[in-house]
Amino acid sequence: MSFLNLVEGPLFTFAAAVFVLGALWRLIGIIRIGRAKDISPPKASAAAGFIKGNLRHFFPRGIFAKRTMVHIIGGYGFHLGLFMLVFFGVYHIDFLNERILGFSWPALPRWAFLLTSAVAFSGLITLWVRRISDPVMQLISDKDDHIGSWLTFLVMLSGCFALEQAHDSLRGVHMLLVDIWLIYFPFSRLMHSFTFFLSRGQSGMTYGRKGKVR
Amino acid sequence: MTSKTELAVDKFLEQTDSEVASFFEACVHCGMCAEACQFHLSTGDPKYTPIYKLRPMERAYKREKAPFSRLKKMLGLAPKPVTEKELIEWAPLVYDGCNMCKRCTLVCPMGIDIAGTIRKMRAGYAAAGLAPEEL
Ligand code: SF4
Ligand code: SF4
Repeated sequence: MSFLNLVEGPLFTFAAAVFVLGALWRLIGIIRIGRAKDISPPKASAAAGFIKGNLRHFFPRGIFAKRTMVHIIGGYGFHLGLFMLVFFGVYHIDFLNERILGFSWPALPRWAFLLTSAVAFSGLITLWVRRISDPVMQLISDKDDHIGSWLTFLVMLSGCFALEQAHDSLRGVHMLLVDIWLIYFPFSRLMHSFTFFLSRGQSGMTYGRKGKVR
Repeated sequence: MTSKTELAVDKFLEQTDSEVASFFEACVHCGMCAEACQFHLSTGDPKYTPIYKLRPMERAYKREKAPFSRLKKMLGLAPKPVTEKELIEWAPLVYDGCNMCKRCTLVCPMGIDIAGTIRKMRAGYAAAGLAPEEL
């Protein structure tokens, strides 16, 4: 079995299984703790608060915009860029179509893919540089934050090298890093990609019940 | 005899329902909350970063109650236990470093309710007899 076959075959299957089962285990583990009982009479719907809380926190607030501009630009650039690269890159669509889903959708044109990569890289690097240079972020960051950033960076970088499909080994290295990223994901802070909706939603529920989601 | 730390940690864990757990699980350590907190803005001291004020409670959760905490403990990857010295060191942040204004929740991309969680953390301090005497 070649290196590429290994990392795209059994190792990918294993990594994907760890990703799915681990992420589910963690999400269910959080939910099954259960919410503390609120005995005050509700003033509005907690369920509506869950949805409102989730939607509201997608958008930054004007009063803090100036002080948090670096986070806003870096954060949106990186996250939107990565989302577009993962789900609208032609090779990713082909891979998902052939290996998992059995259907495809239109991909980004090459120029847009390259532009999006530049935005995503700039965002990720900006956030990481801030993490090592800003006193607040230095104080609250831990190893997991750095490992997550670096692993994601390496996956993206190796993806760029593999873009030309010039050599199987470049694609193999990219896939190996993807496999490692998938295995690391459920045990790390990368899980915020899923836990964000619980966190926003739960505080939305609390304040929604009080009729105060803003 | 149960130590003050055990009493505090037990109460922290009791107060960590799925809402508080989801806050600890979702925080990305971005530090944006510091940019909204008057205590940080007026002193410039990073220790007033809202999420940092919750650190002992977060550590207790991640060590004792979070999904995978048992596995991480077995592998020696769990966070260190909370100590009484640390709780005493944190008391000024928990009691004098938050006026419950909730500005940090507005700015937080994860919508984390720091003030509500600080209130629950204070319950742990009170249970352990570590709340300021004046209260
Ligand atoms: S703003 Fe929210 S996610 Fe960012 S560090 Fe503060 S509590 Fe954590
Ligand atoms: S609720 Fe407390 S921690 Fe949050 S901004 Fe207000 S004073 Fe700071």
